This record gives sequence, structure tokens and C-alpha cells, in this order.
Amino acid sequence: MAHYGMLIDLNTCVGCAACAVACKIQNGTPAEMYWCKVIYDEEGTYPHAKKRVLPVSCQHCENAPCVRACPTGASHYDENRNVQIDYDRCIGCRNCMAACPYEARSCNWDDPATNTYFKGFEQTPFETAHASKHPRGVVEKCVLCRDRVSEGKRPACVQTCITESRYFGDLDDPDSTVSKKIRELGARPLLESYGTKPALYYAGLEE
Amino acid sequence: MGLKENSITRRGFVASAAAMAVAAAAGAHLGALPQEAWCEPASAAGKLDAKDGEYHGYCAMCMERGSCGNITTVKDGVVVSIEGDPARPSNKGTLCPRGKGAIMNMYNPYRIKAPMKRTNPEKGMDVDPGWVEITWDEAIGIAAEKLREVYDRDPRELVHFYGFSAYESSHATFGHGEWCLEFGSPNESSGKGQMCSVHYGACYTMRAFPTVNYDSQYTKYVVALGKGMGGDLGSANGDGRASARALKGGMKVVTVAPYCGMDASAGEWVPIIPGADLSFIYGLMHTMLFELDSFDKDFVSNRTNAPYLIDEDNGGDYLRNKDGKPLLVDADGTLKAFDDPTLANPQLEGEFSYEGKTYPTGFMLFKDALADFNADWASEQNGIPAERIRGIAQELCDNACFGQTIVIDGEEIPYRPSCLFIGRGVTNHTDGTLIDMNARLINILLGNVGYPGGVQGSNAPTYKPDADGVMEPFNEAAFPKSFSYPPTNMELKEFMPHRHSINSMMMRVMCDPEHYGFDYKPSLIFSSGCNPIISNTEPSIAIEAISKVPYVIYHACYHMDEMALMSDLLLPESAALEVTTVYKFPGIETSGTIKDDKDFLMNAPGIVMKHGVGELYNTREGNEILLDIFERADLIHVLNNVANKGGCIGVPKGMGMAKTPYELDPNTRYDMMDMWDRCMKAKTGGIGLEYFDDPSHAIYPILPYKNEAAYYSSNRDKKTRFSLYLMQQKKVGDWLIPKIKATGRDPFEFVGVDIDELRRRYTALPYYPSDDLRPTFNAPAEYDLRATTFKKPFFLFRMGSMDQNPITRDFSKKFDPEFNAVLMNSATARAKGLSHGEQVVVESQFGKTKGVLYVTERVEPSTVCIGGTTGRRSPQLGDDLMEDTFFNELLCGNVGYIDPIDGAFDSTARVKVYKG
Repeated sequence: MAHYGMLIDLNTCVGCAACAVACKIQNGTPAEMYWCKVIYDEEGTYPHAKKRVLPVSCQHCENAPCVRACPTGASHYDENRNVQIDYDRCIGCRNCMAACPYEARSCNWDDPATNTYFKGFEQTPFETAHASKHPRGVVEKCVLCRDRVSEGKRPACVQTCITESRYFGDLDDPDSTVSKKIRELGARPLLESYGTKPALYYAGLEE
Repeated sequence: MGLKENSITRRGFVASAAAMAVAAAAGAHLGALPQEAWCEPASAAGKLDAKDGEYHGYCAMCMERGSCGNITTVKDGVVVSIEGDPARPSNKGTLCPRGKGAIMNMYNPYRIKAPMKRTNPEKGMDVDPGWVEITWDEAIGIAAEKLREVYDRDPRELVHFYGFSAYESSHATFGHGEWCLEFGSPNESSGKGQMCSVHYGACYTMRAFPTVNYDSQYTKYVVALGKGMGGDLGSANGDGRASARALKGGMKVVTVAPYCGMDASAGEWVPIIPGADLSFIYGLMHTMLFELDSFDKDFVSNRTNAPYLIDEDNGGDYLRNKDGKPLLVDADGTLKAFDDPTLANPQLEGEFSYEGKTYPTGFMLFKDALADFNADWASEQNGIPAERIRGIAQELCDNACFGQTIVIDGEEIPYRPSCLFIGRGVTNHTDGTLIDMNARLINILLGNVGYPGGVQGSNAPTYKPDADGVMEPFNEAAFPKSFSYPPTNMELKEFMPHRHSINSMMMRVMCDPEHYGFDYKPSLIFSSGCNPIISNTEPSIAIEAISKVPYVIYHACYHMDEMALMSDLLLPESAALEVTTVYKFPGIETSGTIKDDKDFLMNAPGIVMKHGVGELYNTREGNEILLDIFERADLIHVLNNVANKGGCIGVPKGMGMAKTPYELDPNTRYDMMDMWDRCMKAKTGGIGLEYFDDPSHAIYPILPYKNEAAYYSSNRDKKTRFSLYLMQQKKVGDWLIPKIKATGRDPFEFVGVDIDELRRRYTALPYYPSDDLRPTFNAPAEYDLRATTFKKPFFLFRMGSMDQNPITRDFSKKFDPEFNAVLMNSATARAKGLSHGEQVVVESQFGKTKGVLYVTERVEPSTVCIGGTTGRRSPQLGDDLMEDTFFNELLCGNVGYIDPIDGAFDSTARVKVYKG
């Protein structure tokens, strides 16, 4: 089976957060929950400063601390060696959240009746339509758009990227576009020294 | 490059997110009025009566309406997803965060869900209008009666605002004020346009509208001045893709700006004092001409009016022969008419005599005018080191590849991959037209205009020479047709014939028409999707002006915004996703090409169609509302005439149905779909809307060129000369100034400068106004800083109720430190004793706003920056919107604070900042 992974090219990412919003719309995640986020920062001193951005979501580690920390086996590797959560087995203990060095997980803690998109109003029909995918009391995170990928589509964040800064594909295939781009751009994972072996790679992390 | 890994450590991330959340919650505001009367949960409306499936359309969530194709998915009566349409050459399946927000816009509980009329005559932001829901039949009847009444009495009493909010009926189809003019009122005004006076120079130099682009395919070096390359805009339409591909291909971008965003970070950031841009431009040109002696001499000699001899004793007109033709001196020293077929290579400099008298060339006068503006002088004005100004001039020339050509489609074409690229950030100043025009002259000196690698007019414009062989300015730069006093138009267009919009002055005139010479007062406002109260300067003046008009119809309103609170009749438009509409997408704003993407080049602009999912509420498509009103008022010929003249797909220009088999009978009421179908057939010669039945037909391309070589306008037209000596600008002054004098009025009250200064502004040559005339450099000492703004991808143009989108608002609160923030340089903050994260007030002479101080290294030290179009006066749009930073509150749109030629207000304000 393919080992799905992703490359994010920070050399051209503009931090528009289309990826984060695409993720919300694709998955209809509960209010205030982001499987994909963008961290904004800057480096350098005036007048040589630069704005910096870093999109972060589940890194789909091959040596995932969250999987090891899960007491019930809810967090597991799927057939593509991507990390998934079986909501039926998740007890909401949040050990996995503490273990994840990427802050990629969220607990669906709030009451969907009150924690709505538009505060003070009922859920929109959009939220209601997606609600069954988000049982209360479990931990959630990026699923690497499993359903889309099984239909031959790219993950929503990859498809929507306005600067073509995201690449998705089979990391086991040296001829896949993502594999070739990782080599070409010298991309490497985030927090590589932690030994988590992520399936997400970043180009432009260092000078 | 790269982020340090520790920037995403758990502690660092959680701490920063929590800090922003607390700050945002601290000022939560609750509206004073009961919202229940009109505001109910979206779910109460039930489900859509729409079939499951995909609905192909175009995005309407930003000014670049129609630039992106989208596919909306409906399941069980609910819109469950929206994606970019892969079949559209512009966005190719991508969609930006605003476009994804269309679902939230549709399910926005704050929408106005039915027509309503006011029962409380008192108006104000904190006054309950006493809304009463009425039927569409009653609403149409009231609107028709009011329109007919004013039409019969005096059509000039109608004031029509149009804006972005409900684009289809307000900015397209019958928009851009066209129906108002046809109705008989000159008082149309773009309520959102004054912030974006970017058209004059493009219309003047290249007959390009709306603007001028860089060339992602070939440009190697760009100086971006007051303009982003696409990254900071965050659009899916191709701008972002174009800049990313060009950067990957080695393009270097030098961003000269007071704020360093993503575009500036992708290359070199050169901080500049906001409002001092003209000195930078002059410093560059001086360096090129006097120090480097480097410019495209062949282009300037043969493709511009620079070698034309100038008769200074004849008011600076061209020296003309007995046939009235301008004269030039050819390389061999002989005088020739500009169209002499033997003309080889006219001289730019020398001592030239004609009938015993010596004459300079336009180029010599141009160069003389720049003699004092060297880089050292420029540096004193704008804060950029003189050495760097000289360096940029050198790099522009070094990268211009003077003399080189490139072969495209078998044609050998001049290759000039170096340009200066400008935008709203520099044209919206009190000397904005001088900046606008002179910046474009740098590109003329570089010889890049309309050639590969250089600047391109939007949609590869077709040139047209005037009688002297020089580009005839068009559209907003066209020679004015008439002048009258008393003025005919409440924007005072007679006094500023090159205006884009002077809505801020119109508001002042509406407050006191008699003072400005009008013998009538407005009696009816008909706003189509336009909310000028927050889109321009000084909301209080707009509120006062609107309150003086007896009846206000808000057509194509969407939510209970400031304009709605000032209206008597609300005619709500449906959400963009709900209705089926047709539009002509004219091409994107920033890049004319995308590297290695011929599909984009050939198929990006054209006619597009949006298939709606049907209405959730008792709202209607805006054009159908208009048609009903005009039919009921027995005025349907007004709309039909507009459509026959200019068309009704997109901006009503250039798509007319008159004298085609599809011409409308003036007095017949057509359905909008029928009109769009006829208009498309008139344009295509018979292909109608059935074209879009095939989902793979995402666009019907309409292009003026047939291949890449022909895309380059200066390659298509190898003859028309560009203006280096701005003859028409001078001649408009010659024509206009005596007329203004003859009114006997103080010109300052109408254009903001005295007659002598106005004469200096309508100049053929570079001119630098005194600091006394530029409020950014002439403010009371206590206002020691300058406030300016920058684009934020989530909050642009005030379209699609963007600032209400709960996803992007919440995301911004959690993650974006620039949201609702006041950005200040760390050294400035230290000097003022201000700390990162504290609440501050930014106050100008005209208003104030507040925000969280964001201490940064990415702002020029004399500047504070506030990003995005946020800020509200209406308490009826959500609890926390009133707490948003509101940059426009700081600005002034009065005379003295606007450009005297195009009426742009200065988008930089002098301010003071203190804890608050």
C-alpha cells in the first residue's frame, strides 16, 4: 500500500490560510477546532525582518507518540501508515494530545448545541450536516482526507492551495511528484530530532 | 530561509494563542437593539429545495468577482462543501479562504431575510428603525412610486450609490452608475471606489483598464511600490500562483513599503516613509538619467513623444509644421514630421533650430525637471538610504536587457524583464496622480511597456494614437467633454474630470448642496449594495449626509449594516450561492501571465455562469428586483437602454446588443436570464447560455489576441508612441483652469489647492509639491506618527459579509497576531513606553480607533499599520464587530486631503498612539 505524505513549500507559502479554511469546510469540524492551522511569526531585525508562516496539522508520523500514548488503541496506523483515530474506541483521555509535539490534536469537548459557529445562534445547516462525523468526547485531528483520497482526489488543503505550495502522494514511490519534490527542495520534517518520522515534509525550514 | 523549529513549541504556541483570545474577548460588545425582529437562526429557514449534486459557478466573494470557478455541493438540501473548479484556467481547482467562506455568507444568521420598511422616522446607529416585514409586491410598489415621483419632478434629485456588497446588480449588469445616468441623474457614485484610485495612469499611458500588470512569464526583476505581488492578497485567481512560479523561476522582488508582509518577505524589503513615494520615483529617474545615463534610448526615441520639439512660447505645445504636425529632429539632423516615413532614429538631446529659433525636445525638458531630484535629496524625503535608491535604479537598468530580443511564436520581440509595479498604496495620496504618472514613466524609460518582461495593460489593451501619433488617453484619463457651473454632479466631477470616485466630497455636498452651487437637493437615495458609511472616510459625515435625504432605498442589501440602519426600505438580495447569474470576468489584477501556463494566458477572461442552489429566505436576485421596480414605474426602457448600449453581462460596457438581432425592445420587460442570454449571443454571434450546460465549459473566453506573441500590446501595435512628455495632462489644465477661474469660486473649496498649484499639477513634466500641500508631512506636532493599512486575505473589500465569517474571525483571533492589531516598530514602542499586547488608541485629527499593540520589526519606525477592512458602526452585526480596528475612521476625505486631479483621498493619516 502507498505511504501517503505531503510536502509544504515554505518558500512560496503565503500564509493565506486557505488550507485551514478548506479543512474546516471539507470536514465541518466543530466551532473553534482546527485540524489545520497556520502559525505566524517573524524573524530578523528592522530593516532586515521577514514575516514567516508555518502551516501545521497532524504530521502522520510513522513513529507517532500519540499512538504509543493511546491506552485503547483508538489512535492507530491505517493501511497507508497514516495515523487515524477510531472514535468508537476513543475514551477522550487526551493522553495523545499531551504526547503530540505538534499540537495537532483537539478534543471535541464542547456541547455542539452551544458551541456553534455563529455564537448565540443555533448550528447552521452546514454544521448539522457534518455533525455526525464529530461525536462529542473524542479527540480529533487531520485524517489526511481519507475519503477524498480513496476517491482519487487530493486532500482539501492540497487542492485549494493558491500558490501550489502543497504536494501530496506516495512517499514509497521514488518517482511520485511529492518524493521528487522533497528531494529537489531538500525538504525535511518538522522537529526531525524527535524521531517521530513524520510523513509531512517542509521545504524552506532553514536558511 | 525558514522558521525556527522552536517557534512551534507547545509552550510558545499555546501562550500566544491564549493571549490573543483574551485580548479579543475583553471588549465584547452587545448590540443595543433587539435582533429577534429580523434575525433568526438559519436553520429555521429549513432546507433548500435543491437536488443533490454539484452546482458549477463562479466565486463572488471578492472584488475579483468571477475570477474563480467554484463547485458547490448540495446534499439533503444543505450546502455541504465548496471547492474550486478545476476546469477554470484562472484558479484551476484552488479556492481562497474568502471563496470558501461563501457557505458561511449564505448561512449567516444576520442576513436580512425579507423586504422591510421602517416605521420609526428617526435614524441613527443606535435607533430602533421599527422594521416591519412587507411583501415583495408592496416593496416593489413603494420603490417604484418613489423612483417615478423623482423622475417626474426632477431626476437629478436621485442619488445612486453602487458598491461591492451585492455585486451582480450593483457593480455589474446595470451597475457602475449606468442606469442612473440613463434615468437622468448625474449623481451616481461608487461608494467603494475612492479608496482605490488606481486607474488614471493606466488609462493614460496604455489605454489599460482597470490597471497594469507585471509579466510573471518573463519578468526577472520587479520593484513593487504600494502593490502586492499576489501573496498578501491571497487570491486563488492566479495572482498567487503567478508570483509563486515567478519566484521559483528566479524573479527578484524589491518591495518598497512601510510594512513588510508576505510579498515583501519573499524578496527584499525596502522600508519607506508612507506618502513619500514621489521622491523615490524621482530619485530613481534622476539616477538613471544623470548618473547612470542608462535607459532604453531606442525605445524612448522611437516609441515615445520624448523627441518631439516643444514650443515653450506657445504654452508648451509641440512645435508644429505648417500642416500642424509635430516636428522631430532625425539622426541626420533634419527636421521631420512625426509621421514622416523616412524618420529613422530621432534625436532626444541637442540644439535644434527651426526658422531661426531654438527649441528643446520633450526629453530635454523632462530631464531638466528632474535635475534637482537626486538620490540624496530623495533620501531626505523618504528615509531610504540614497545608496539603496541608486542601487535599485542600477538594478532596474541592469535587468532591463536593453537591446535584447526574445523569439515568441516565431516573432522577434524586445525583451525587457525589469519593471516598476505600482498600486493603491501609492496612488491614494494627495500627490497620487503625480506618483501614478511618473511611476509609469520609469517603465517607459526602461522600454518595457507592453513588451515581454515589462508591464502589461489588463487584458492586453489595444492602443489608439491621437492626431499627433501619441497614445490617446481613455476612460478615466480621457479629455473631459464639458464643464458647467453650477456643477451638474454632486461628486464635483467637473472640477476633477479624472476622478474614479469622490464619494467623500459628495457626502459633503449632500450636507449643503447650495453652498456648492446646486439649486436642488437630493430627495431620494437608491443604494445598490453600497455602504459608503464605512467604505470611505469619516462615517459621521456620511451618516449626516444620508440623514438629510427624505427617503432611502437600500436595494441589494444583505445584512443590517450601517446603510441599512439609515434606510427606509430594505430590498434584500439573495446570497451569491443561491442565485443563477452571468458575468464577464475581465482578467485578474496583478499578473497578466502565469509562468508556463498558456491555458491561463489564452482562457482566463471571459463570460462565466453561476448555477444557484435556490433561496433559503424571502430574498431575490438583485437584477430581477431592479427590473420589477422599473417595470412598475413604467421606466423599463431605462434598463433596456443601458443593456442595448453597453450590454448586461458584467460591467455594462462593450457588450451592447443594439443593432444586433438580439437588441431589446425598449419597452418590453424581459427576464434577466433572457437578457443575459441575448447579450451573450450578441457578443458571440449566436452562442447563448446553453453553452454552460456542459460542466466542462467553465468559461467562454473573450480575448483580443490569438497567441502569446500577440498578447504583448506593443508587439501588436508597433507604431503608437507613449507619452513621456504628458501633453494631454497639460492640455486638460489649459482647458479646465480658466473655466474654474470663471466660476468666481475659491478653487480650494472644490479641488483643495489654489489656481496656481492646480496649474502646476496639470503638468507635462515632473513636479514636486511642497510639504505644506501634503497633510502627511504637514500636521500638528502631537500627531507624530503616520498610520497606514495593508491587505489581509480574510478581510478584503467588505464583501460577502467577510467580517462576520465565524471561521475566519475565530481563526484570526486564535492564530493571527496582526488581526485587530496596531503594528508598531519595536524602537518606536520602546521610545513611547508601549508594550506588546496592550490595548492602544490610534487617534488622528479626524477620528480614532483602537487595537492590540503588536510590536514588530516589520514596520517603518515612523509608521503604525492596521491591516484589513474591518470596523463597524452598526451594533447589529454581531457582538464583537464593533470592537474591530477601524482604519477608515482615521482618514479625511475633505479638500486638502484629496488629490486635486483624481480625487483620491490620502490613505495615510498623521496619528498619535497612546494606551487605551
